[in-house]
Amino acid sequence: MEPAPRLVNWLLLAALVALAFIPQFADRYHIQLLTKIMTMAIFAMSLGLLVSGVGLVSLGHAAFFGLGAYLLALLSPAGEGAAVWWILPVVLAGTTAAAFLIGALAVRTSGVYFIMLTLAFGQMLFYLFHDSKFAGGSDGRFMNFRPVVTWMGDDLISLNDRPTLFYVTLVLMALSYLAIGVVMKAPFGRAVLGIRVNESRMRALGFNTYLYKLVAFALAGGMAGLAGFIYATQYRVVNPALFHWRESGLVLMMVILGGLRSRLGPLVGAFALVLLEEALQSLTDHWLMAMGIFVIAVVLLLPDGLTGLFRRKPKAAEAADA
Amino acid sequence: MPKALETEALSKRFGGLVAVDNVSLAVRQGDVHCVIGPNGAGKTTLLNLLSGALPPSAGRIRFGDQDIAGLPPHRIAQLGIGRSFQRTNIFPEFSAYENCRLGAQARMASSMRFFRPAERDDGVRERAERALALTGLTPRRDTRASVLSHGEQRQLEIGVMLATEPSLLLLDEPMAGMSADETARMVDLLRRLKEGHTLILIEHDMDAVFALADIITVMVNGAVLASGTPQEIRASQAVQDAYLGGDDLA
Repeated sequence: MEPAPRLVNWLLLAALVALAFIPQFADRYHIQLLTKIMTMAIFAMSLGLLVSGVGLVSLGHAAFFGLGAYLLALLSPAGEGAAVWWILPVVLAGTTAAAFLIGALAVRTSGVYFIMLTLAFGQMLFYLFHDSKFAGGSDGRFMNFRPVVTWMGDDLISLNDRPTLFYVTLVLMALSYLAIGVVMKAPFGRAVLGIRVNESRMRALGFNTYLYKLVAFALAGGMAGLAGFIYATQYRVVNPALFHWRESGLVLMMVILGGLRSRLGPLVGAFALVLLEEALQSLTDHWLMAMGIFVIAVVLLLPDGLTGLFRRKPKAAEAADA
Repeated sequence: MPKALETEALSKRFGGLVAVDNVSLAVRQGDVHCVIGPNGAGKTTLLNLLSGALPPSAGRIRFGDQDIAGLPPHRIAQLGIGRSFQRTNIFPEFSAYENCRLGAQARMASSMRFFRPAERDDGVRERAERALALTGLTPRRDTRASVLSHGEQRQLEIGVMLATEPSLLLLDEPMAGMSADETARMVDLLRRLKEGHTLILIEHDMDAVFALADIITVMVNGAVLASGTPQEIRASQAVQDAYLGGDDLA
């Protein structure tokens, strides 16, 4: 993950401003769709932290997305909305802790074994929620009231209002993006990037690489939990499919499609994938096939993903002055 | 003179193979202690035991006043034992500077810092720049490590280790594959490193070994055949027969 070039930062700001105007003229459906995309973008960024940041490819990341959503739905009181001030920290702490526990075992492995372990943990949670009654089994659970943001007894902002939820999600997405940037520039991020490139050397230099990978896994889990929290707030319904490996695969596809070498990749991937799905669905019944062709084309033609299109130049210049 | 590092009956077995057999070494503070021997003598395995890359099957390693045998590599590195590798083991996609900066960052108490940019740490930055200067790579500071020449990559291999500011250096064939020019520069660098460091050096280039060594230990089949000053080793009939092959050293 390299620092984004300046031009891209300006384009990004412009895109953010443009997004902010959308609720002014878009209909309900499209406001909802974009809120969902931004939620997926946060989810994808959290996985990007693992895949591009540490070099750990997880196929069970939906476990923490689902857990975030379920924690909100299960902990919310039946008769009123839970106050965000306590429910959000509880959900974040819960998902981070779960990722810490699962990570403690998973990050001992790497490569295909890591993929298998994360897949196994994800499916374990899927079946746990699918087959047990406490969370509504295969039907899932409906949440009567959305969480409330109150201040001195008054509603500060109402998450029931679609445009408001849209803006809250937009802000959280932007904050997540900035937070990842800060963390990746800090000693922690540098250490983790070093582990991605050459873990054994990092160990020989004195880094406890296991611990850094574990903390990265826990942070990524907490951020996926945030996305799950927003998802459940938007739809007020959770079901076991949120944990399913198809969800993990989808978000991994967003990360790869967007590009593994850019912090922006997961964000771009989330927008591209969902919007394309929308567009193709309205055009043809065989949209899945068109989608498949698109994904294959991107992977074959753009090794750095969609964000690879924005890269200023290949690094040939540096090789030339050697 | 105080001992920087001592091993006691150190052994490493891989199944039936004894790669390191009952090795007892005493490395004096400030010495260049060379370990030589034919391929397969167990030299690199010995370094792997000292650096923690492999746990020993038996024996003790005393560094300062503690037994470090079996500690994980990152703990041993934090105690001040640096390791460079026979096959260049750097961060190819990072600049020469970032390679050394990571080494320097390893010396921080902890890298569990999430907010302030790593680049703002003056201490780390200075250590990295110093390591680049020592290895003569300052002009190549911002070049990606993967496009450096072989000789420069070997220098960087040493620089990354130096940036951690170790007191004891474990060097595994630093001259491997170098031209005569590059070798001369490396010998010069290692000679400068003698100030303030203890070096354990594995090397096949006998000219370099005899130019640098205070003590030479000869290993054959995992065991120590002889250990002594360069003069003693040169004069030893056993070493001549087993390894050096007579007139090479005349």
